[in-house]
Amino acid sequence: MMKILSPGSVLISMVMVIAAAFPAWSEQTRADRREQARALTRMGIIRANSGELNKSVKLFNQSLAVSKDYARAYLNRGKVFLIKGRLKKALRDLNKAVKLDSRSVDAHVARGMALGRHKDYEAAVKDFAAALRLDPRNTQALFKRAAIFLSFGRIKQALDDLDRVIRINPRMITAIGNRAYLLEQTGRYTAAIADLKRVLALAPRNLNAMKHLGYTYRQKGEPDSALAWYQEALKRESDKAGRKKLNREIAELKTTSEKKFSKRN
Amino acid sequence: MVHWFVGLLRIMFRVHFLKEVVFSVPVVAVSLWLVCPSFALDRSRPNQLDAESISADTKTGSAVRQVPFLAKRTSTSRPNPTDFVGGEKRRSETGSVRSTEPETVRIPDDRAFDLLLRDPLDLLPLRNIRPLYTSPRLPREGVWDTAFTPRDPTGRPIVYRTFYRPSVEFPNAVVHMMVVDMSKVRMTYYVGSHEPGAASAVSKVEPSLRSHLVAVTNAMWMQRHSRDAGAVFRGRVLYPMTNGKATLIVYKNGRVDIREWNSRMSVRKIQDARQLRHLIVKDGMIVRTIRRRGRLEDAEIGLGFLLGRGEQNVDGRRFWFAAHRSAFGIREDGNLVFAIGHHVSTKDLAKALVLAGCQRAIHGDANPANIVGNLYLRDSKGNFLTKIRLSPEQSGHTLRRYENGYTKDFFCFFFKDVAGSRHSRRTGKRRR
Repeated sequence: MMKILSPGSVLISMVMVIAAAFPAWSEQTRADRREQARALTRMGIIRANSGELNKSVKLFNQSLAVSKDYARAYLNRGKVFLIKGRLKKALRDLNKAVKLDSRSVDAHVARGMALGRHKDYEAAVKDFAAALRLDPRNTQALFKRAAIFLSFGRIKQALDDLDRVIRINPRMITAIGNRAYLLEQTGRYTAAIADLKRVLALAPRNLNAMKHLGYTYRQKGEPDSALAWYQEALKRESDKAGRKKLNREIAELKTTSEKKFSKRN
Repeated sequence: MVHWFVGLLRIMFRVHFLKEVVFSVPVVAVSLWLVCPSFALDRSRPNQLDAESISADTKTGSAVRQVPFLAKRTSTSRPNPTDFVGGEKRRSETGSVRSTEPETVRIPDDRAFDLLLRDPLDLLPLRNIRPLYTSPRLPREGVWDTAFTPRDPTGRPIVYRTFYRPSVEFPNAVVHMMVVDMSKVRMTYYVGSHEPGAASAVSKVEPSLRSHLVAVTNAMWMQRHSRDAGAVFRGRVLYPMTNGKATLIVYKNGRVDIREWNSRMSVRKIQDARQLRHLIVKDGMIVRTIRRRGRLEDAEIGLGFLLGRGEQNVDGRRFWFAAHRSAFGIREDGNLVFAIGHHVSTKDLAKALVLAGCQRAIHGDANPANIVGNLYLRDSKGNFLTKIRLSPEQSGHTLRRYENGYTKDFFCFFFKDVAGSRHSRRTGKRRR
């Protein structure tokens, strides 16, 4: 027994134990660190979503100190910078997030938004397109891209994107309303009216939709329907200036209707 | 320690080295079995970092405290009440399913892309023009469009645009028009750098005003082609005004009008004015004839002054009047209409302006490279987005003109508050 436990055998045993355990230990440490980073990032997200942006940035910083290649921490810190309006910092973080995880839809969408606010619209459109290649049903990417297309005057593309959004989520009021507005502004009144009625079916008290319906009917040359919708809007309008405008429009429409009536007779 | 090393050296040279290695294998195995589970981690033990986080975050209480070292979220975890409803999955408006786990930071919607918020009652009540041609039908012909035009910081449109084919004889004659809401902008006249009055006027848009540009249009003909047409620049007579001439007038209060000049009109209230020939629309009607030296003459403008006489080669001199033209009109509501026409006569251009609600109108510059309507698109914060042409047939290089000056006269439209304050400062008057 003494011979077995001689100093040499003990030393060899120790060396072998360390050599065998080191990779496992190292791997385990990395996993630990990643798990710590994940936990800190999660805390940061909670903080950011409750409006504590500075504290959330500190938590994301801690997370990145623990695991410096953790893409989600970069992504979320970038988003917080985007909310704070620190566009350069946001773009730096989001670029890193995309570099670390190029298959992250969220990272592409967030970077697209940052680029859009940075007035780099072409690059923003490319990022949204990348996000849509990864997830063709991502309504956020489609919706944001439609906004960018519109600011460039590409109404057809904006309408196409809004069509896709509405096909995916037929109850998305903002998308339906936006499509109605674009149709109205481009003279496609019948389709605009259908969309505005759809908005009112989903949100019956939507005052803006009522006003737009009145306006669209007026542009279409149906003053009686326009008058009805303006009067409906007037019932719900609480703003003094808004009521004044509506009353002026109603008076004008009544005059037009009376003139038409007297002409007929 | 020394003793062990000596022993190791001895072992290295011993014959039964292998035997000791063989005996040490079970020891290694047992040791690994003992050591690794301890690395596989006492999950309940918080580490220093965790302790720091907890001490740093006392405000959110349980939400922070329940993030232990390497722990998964426990049933006691309490998500932020603003994020989730009752711990259930719910579908957001954008259609994505939000789980109880906060997966990512949510960027609040700034509602910049909620177009229904744009009050339609803020729009000018413009009557759409019924197209003359139903075949081939051109989409959006005669429809006043604000979808891609300059807007004020609150998102209300400043410019409304449309196009119309007014000519019965020439179906290819197209007029592109824009109505400018003059309650939101101020018009300013700049004298071309090669014009005789340039030395005592301004030919460049002031750098401080460039960020407030809404639109730029051409003005009238060059002075040497305009015969005795007068001009007023910032309240000063640049070229003597002539009675009976059509005059585009910008008053010091920002109002714009188009009138026949007469001796009773005073320069005192005028900021800028420019004359050219006769009115092409008067009392809401097309001017077809004018009286000159006691004789009635055709009101068509341009004979001898129009370039690009392709028509002349094809048709002889019969259709000399079909040309590239521009014109300014004033509506009853005081808003200005600017029109660019291609292959169009003066009367057809006037017809389009009448249909756009103009009471009076004046002919502007003519010929392909001279007719310009540049619109400056900006975001809600006033940041410049892009420049667009009023007419797609307008020469592309015209978009790069004007800001750094141009050889011919032009008009600029600025956001009213900025331009108003600057000009009143320059003219030495205090605005109330």
